[in-house]
Formats: sequence, structure tokens, C-alpha cells
Amino acid sequence: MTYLERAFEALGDSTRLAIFQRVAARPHSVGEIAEHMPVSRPAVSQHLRVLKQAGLVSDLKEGTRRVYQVKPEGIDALRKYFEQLWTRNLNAFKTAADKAAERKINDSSRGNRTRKKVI
Amino acid sequence: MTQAVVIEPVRKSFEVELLPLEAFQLFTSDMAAWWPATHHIGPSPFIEIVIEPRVGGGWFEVDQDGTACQWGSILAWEPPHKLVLSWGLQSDWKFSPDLSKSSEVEVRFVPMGDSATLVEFEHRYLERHYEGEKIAVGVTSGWDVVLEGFKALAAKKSS
Repeated sequence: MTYLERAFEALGDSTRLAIFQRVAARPHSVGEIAEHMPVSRPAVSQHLRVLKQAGLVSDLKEGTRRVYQVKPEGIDALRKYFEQLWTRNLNAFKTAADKAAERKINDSSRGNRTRKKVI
Repeated sequence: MTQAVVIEPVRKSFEVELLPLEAFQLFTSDMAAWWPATHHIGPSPFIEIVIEPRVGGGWFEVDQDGTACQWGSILAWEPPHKLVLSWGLQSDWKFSPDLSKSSEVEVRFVPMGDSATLVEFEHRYLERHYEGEKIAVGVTSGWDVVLEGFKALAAKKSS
């Protein structure tokens, strides 16, 4: 099953979808969700477990309670963006530095230097 | 009440066959000479990228039409060993002078033997670009796409 199919299946239950939408709006604890829905705490916990297994939500401990939030996929994208930007730009800097080093060597007519590869 | 999100810094290190001061100068004094030209925030390509050589100075591009677009500012200027820049470009590519919303780029130039330099690079506090409501907006819109897909699939199944 693909990631998306698993996610869709997890949301294929109307109660679970309602829980997910609550968590997507802002992080919630099990108790907070149960308070506002006609569902018992154990049932809420069970639904959250399914959502977590499908990779839709993550949980973290806040004091004595467990808070659920949607997985911050946007954050991963942001980091990936900068990772790619700096790989490319620092490689460009390295190339410029190699050229400058070569000019230096030619100027002083010292030879036999090796250039190491990239990042 | 929600725990702050932390993004692992982007780190790179590599060696160049230049002295620390030469590498520092190459990095700072004419950034446009090596910075890929595809990356500019102004409407026209840049002709210059300026790093003003002092703490509090600006980091900005100067475009063909003469406009300057700021990217950040200088937080540490310690030639030949260390440079720290703030990155104030937000996710909409608009500059914010607010340092609490800026990430930091640190570059260290460490001498290696008598003629080479290890360049240690770090872009940190990336999460500052995604704080507060922006996290909610980014995440929610991302999940809207998933939910739309789900709705489409559900509609297909039920028809």
C-alpha cells in the first residue's frame, strides 16, 4: 500500500476524519478531543493510533498528557530547499576557489597540487 | 502551548587550496562572481551581491535596474576566520529585518597546514521562518491537498 493510500484509508472513517480535522486545526490532547465529540477517550486513542500509523499525525509528551499534531511536512520541504540551495551554491564557490588556487599556483609556478572533490 | 519545531541545520564542510584570508575574501568581497545567477529575488538579474564588511552591515543584491534587494545583515565579521550572516528572506521571498524571524548562516575558515583551508558552513535556526501562524498555514494547506485527493477518491468509489 502506498503512503497516500494508507493515509486515505485511515481517513475513510467519518469519526476518524473528524478527529484528524480537529488535530489539523491545532494540536489536541486525547481529552480535549473526547470532550468535544460523542466518542469515548479509548475510542479517540484508537483512532489516533490508526492516524499515527498512517503517518498523518505525530504525538509528543507535554507534561503528563500526550498531544497530537499533524506531521509538519512543510518543514521538511523547507529544509530540503536550503539543503539543495547550499549544495549547489557552495559547489559554485568551491569551483571559484579551485580556479583562484590554480591562478595562484601558475603565478608562483609551483606545481603538483591535487584538487580534492567537492562537498 | 505547542512545542517549538526545530529544524536540523544545513551543514557542509569542504577544503579549498587557499589561505583562510583568501577564501574569506573570495566568499565575501565579490559574491556575485560565484553565486549562481539563477538565484535572485529582485525582478531583474543581479549585477552585484554586497556583504558590507562590518557588524550591522547589509547583505544585499544590486540588480541591473539599480534596485537593491536586501537578503540579510552581518552578525559577525571576523576575517579571516568567521562570518555570520542573518538570512531575512521569508517563505514569500520578502525580506524581514526582524532577527527573530531570520535564520543564520555561519561560515568558518579553518587553516589546514600551511596553504589550505577547511570551510565549515552552517545554516541554522531555519524553523524561525516557519514560526507561529506560518506553520499552521503551511501544514494546513499541505494537508488540504491530501484531503482533496481523498475526497476525489471517495467520490469516485461512491459513484
